[in-house]
Amino acid sequence: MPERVGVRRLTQAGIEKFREYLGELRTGSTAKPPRWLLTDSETSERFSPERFIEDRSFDTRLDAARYLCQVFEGCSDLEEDVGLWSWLSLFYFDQVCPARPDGSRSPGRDYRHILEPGYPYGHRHLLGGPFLVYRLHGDEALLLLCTRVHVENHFHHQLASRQVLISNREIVRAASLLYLHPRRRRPKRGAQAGNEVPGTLLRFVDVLQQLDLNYDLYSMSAEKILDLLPAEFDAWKPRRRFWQRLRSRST
Amino acid sequence: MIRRFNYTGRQKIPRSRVRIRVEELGRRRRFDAELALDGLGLPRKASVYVEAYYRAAYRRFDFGTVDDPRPPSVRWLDGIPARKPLFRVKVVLAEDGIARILAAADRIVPEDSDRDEDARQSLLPVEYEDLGGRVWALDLDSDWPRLRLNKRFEGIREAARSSPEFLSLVYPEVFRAILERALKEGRFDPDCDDDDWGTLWLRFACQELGCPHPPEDSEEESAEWIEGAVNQFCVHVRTASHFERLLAERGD
Repeated sequence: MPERVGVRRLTQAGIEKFREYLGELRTGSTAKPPRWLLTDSETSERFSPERFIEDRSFDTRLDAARYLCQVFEGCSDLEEDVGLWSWLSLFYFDQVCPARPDGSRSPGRDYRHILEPGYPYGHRHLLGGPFLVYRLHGDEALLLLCTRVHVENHFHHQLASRQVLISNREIVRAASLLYLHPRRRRPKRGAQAGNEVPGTLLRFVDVLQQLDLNYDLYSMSAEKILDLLPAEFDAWKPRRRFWQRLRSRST
Repeated sequence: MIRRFNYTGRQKIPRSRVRIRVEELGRRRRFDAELALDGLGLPRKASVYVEAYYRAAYRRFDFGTVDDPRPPSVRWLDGIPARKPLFRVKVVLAEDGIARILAAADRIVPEDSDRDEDARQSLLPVEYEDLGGRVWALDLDSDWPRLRLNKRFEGIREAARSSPEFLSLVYPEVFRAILERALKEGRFDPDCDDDDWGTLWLRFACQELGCPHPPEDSEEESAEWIEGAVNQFCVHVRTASHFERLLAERGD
């Protein structure tokens, strides 16, 4: 069973050291993560209220977010805690930035590991972003969080960056009804294609932002939201309707 | 260019009919809303909602109906990190599960309960956040432009208000970025009311700075117009003399 570790926060000095390490990785360094930053009193401090965490392995961002929500249940004001999310990123660094066989890593931009609160990068932190989405939507957020911990999919990227969309549980559910394969529990093939492809994610975002002007989408169920969508989305709608129609014809 | 169409004839609720105040009680905040919806021709049974939001954080409060307003007893803003979130008021009529917005007022900047003079429509609300290594940032992708200042710097509030660094080096670029976005999004509609941030900023450029009406189609002309507006802004806030003061303070 993994050891339980007291959660800490990186101090400003710790964050800068972590940032330096990320920069080294971008130049091809194969250095191991500076895990000493996690416990050194110069580079980290105890998180309050006291929480404990395990070095678990997560299959998906959803699993990671679900676990973090359990750990931080009852805690508030975490959205802008740069030190906490930086500490967590370093703690789970082998998952948010896995090493290649040659030992090199591809960390991407700093904001994936060191939280930059708010727009435009807050939701892109690889642990903080999923955490916020999961706290809003729970397991309904699978469409957005079904990838490996270090991979952000377009559903998360497009929906989580828009307040009107991400704060509405029924819109997230409507997106799942359209684009989540019901058996595979993965996005349907082609759903993340470009804006020019009818009925795909980017069109969904455009159309919903237009509908939001005239319809109170917060008052509506996901099914009713789907009813408002133009015909280009029909191909993505759940087949269950097809079977229901068939059934109603046959009776 | 992002344009949205008001297909169903949604009314705008005039700002003068909405008053929202936020007060802090210990570590918690709650709000009061005064809504005057009479005389707008809205159906009596239509529902009234007040929504508070900031980024992904959102809370919705049921205020009863047009003819029977009932503010909820619980109006805490827990879970919304900003000191002053934005508010939205909606009048909604739902039939067969389809909820149409009949009237709305959006992007309402609340007043502080202890500061009546607080700008109800601040052109540039300021938020204090931990921005890591950055001193400031401009958020143009929320519902209203916001200047984000790094709260890790003690004294940044005062610096942003009156320091020569901000006045001469930061604000002209803030102004430029806001105008660029406003024109890019085609926000300048002279008939638009005060709900639209782009209109207010461009109106500021025209009325306060004496700029001509901005071009609506040509990108090249827009770029020229913005350059002119920023120059006017620099004259207006005396950036040159602030910069001279800055150099003098450094002893250069």
